[in-house]
Amino acid sequence: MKKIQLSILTIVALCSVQSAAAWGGVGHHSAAYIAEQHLTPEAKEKCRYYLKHTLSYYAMWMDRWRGIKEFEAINNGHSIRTTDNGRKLSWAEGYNVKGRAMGHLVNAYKELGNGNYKNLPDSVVRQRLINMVHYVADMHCPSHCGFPEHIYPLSSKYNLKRNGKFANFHSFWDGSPGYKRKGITVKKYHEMIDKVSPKEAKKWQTGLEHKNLEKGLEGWAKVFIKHGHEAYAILPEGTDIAHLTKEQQEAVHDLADRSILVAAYRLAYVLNTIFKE
Amino acid sequence: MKKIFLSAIFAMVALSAGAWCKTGNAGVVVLATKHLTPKALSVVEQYLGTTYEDDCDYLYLLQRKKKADFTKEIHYLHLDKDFQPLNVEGDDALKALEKALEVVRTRDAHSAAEVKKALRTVINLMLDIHNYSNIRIENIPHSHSNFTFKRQVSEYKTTTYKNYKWANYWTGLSNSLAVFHADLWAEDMELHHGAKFAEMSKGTLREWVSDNGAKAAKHLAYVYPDSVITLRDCLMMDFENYDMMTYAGFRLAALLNQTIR
Repeated sequence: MKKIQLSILTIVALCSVQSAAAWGGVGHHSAAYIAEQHLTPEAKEKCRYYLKHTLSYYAMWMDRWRGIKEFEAINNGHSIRTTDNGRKLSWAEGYNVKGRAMGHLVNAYKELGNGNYKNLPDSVVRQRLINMVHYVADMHCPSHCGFPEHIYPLSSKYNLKRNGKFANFHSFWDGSPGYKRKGITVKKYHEMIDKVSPKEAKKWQTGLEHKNLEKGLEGWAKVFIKHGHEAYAILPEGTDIAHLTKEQQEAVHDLADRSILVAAYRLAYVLNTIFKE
Repeated sequence: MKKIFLSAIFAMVALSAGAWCKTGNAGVVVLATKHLTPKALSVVEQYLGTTYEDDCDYLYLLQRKKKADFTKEIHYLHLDKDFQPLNVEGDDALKALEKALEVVRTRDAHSAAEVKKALRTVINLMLDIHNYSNIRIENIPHSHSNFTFKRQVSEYKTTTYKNYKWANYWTGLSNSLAVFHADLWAEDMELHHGAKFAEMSKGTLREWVSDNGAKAAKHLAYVYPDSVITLRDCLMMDFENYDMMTYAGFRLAALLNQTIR
């Protein structure tokens, strides 16, 4: 066991994927848990073979151990960036630049997809899966869509308050799935939000079939950017998050829950596609 | 994010009662039930039902409500330098466990309430003795206190350290998965270690106690008041904490199977 644990440390140093940071515990663990409910039997078996754990177990691993030297390359980001006009994903920046989660997903998919995972050491596949479970959820977090500063100020400068004192916009959205839901478990959260019809799910689960993956995933990017704008619209500058109106609270939950659901269904889609026999 | 995460893990310690977080404790018991004999399972369900979250907090709730007929010392294990049980004055975890097991073994001679209390005590204390912070070793003075140590935050950024309490650290590690429900905890532990049930649950209660003491001592050799712990060591501690939860579940099952025949 210790060998496996140490190999995780070693292998991560070789990873091309990067990043870290996003949803809090409720969001990350729930996205992974919901994704696991929608895996095909083959994909579930393969994931469990490589991870020796549920997907949920590793959902926050990339955040928890980001301070270890071998993880430095994956420390920053788990986000995406839009171009200057704040409407389009910047693919030019999307590859192997720190904090470009979409680029990492494309790279990891190319490494594992089309049966390529069979030619990789188990430890490498394991590490790619651990990373993927985290950043597919991360890239769906509304505050992980980085806009140019002339469109929205940085989180550290965005004027949000909690009882009159500065509150961080990014942190608020990270914790939004658990907002006013003290003691919720992933199971309760799943039961509460997962009412998705197959038709709706199918709408989210496209893109990987495209020969040009970057092109295929443009639809995903549009959703991230739309959600990013929504997050700012729900909490305009000057908002005190300790005193949100009922409408604002509902809007926060609506956006958080939608984002988690899309992330979960897409994570399942990615894994099902990779492990499709 | 980092701030939220760390505060979620270590501030929540105050909310948890027992060896680990509330759902983690219940998950350990659910894991145990998966390895009970049909006879042992039927007795457990007869007295405790099929959900265990309240049972796992039982001793702590009694203390909190000031209804306990014991002191908080009941949660601790006292071992000598060779990790053999010390005969301390009053009840410690081992003595209380053995007494409670005797009640379960002779359950027909006891009232339902007494058996229920004994079963809950067994569960609580089996969890407690697998949490290193409840193990006090004769020749390791700092094992007797909830001392403060420093934990490295990052290996590559301007090195910073944060202070943590020994007991809160081990208890709080499971809080990173506190949003798991008990069944998910059990499913994950079973998935990770299930094949090793026979190996991990081998032995007697007193052998397990010594084994836990020896493992705790390894950590106490480099974690002491004001020591600085590397992040790498913390990662290994995290893995080991998860293993100890699994040991607790497997050994609880073995203990109940031996006791309820």
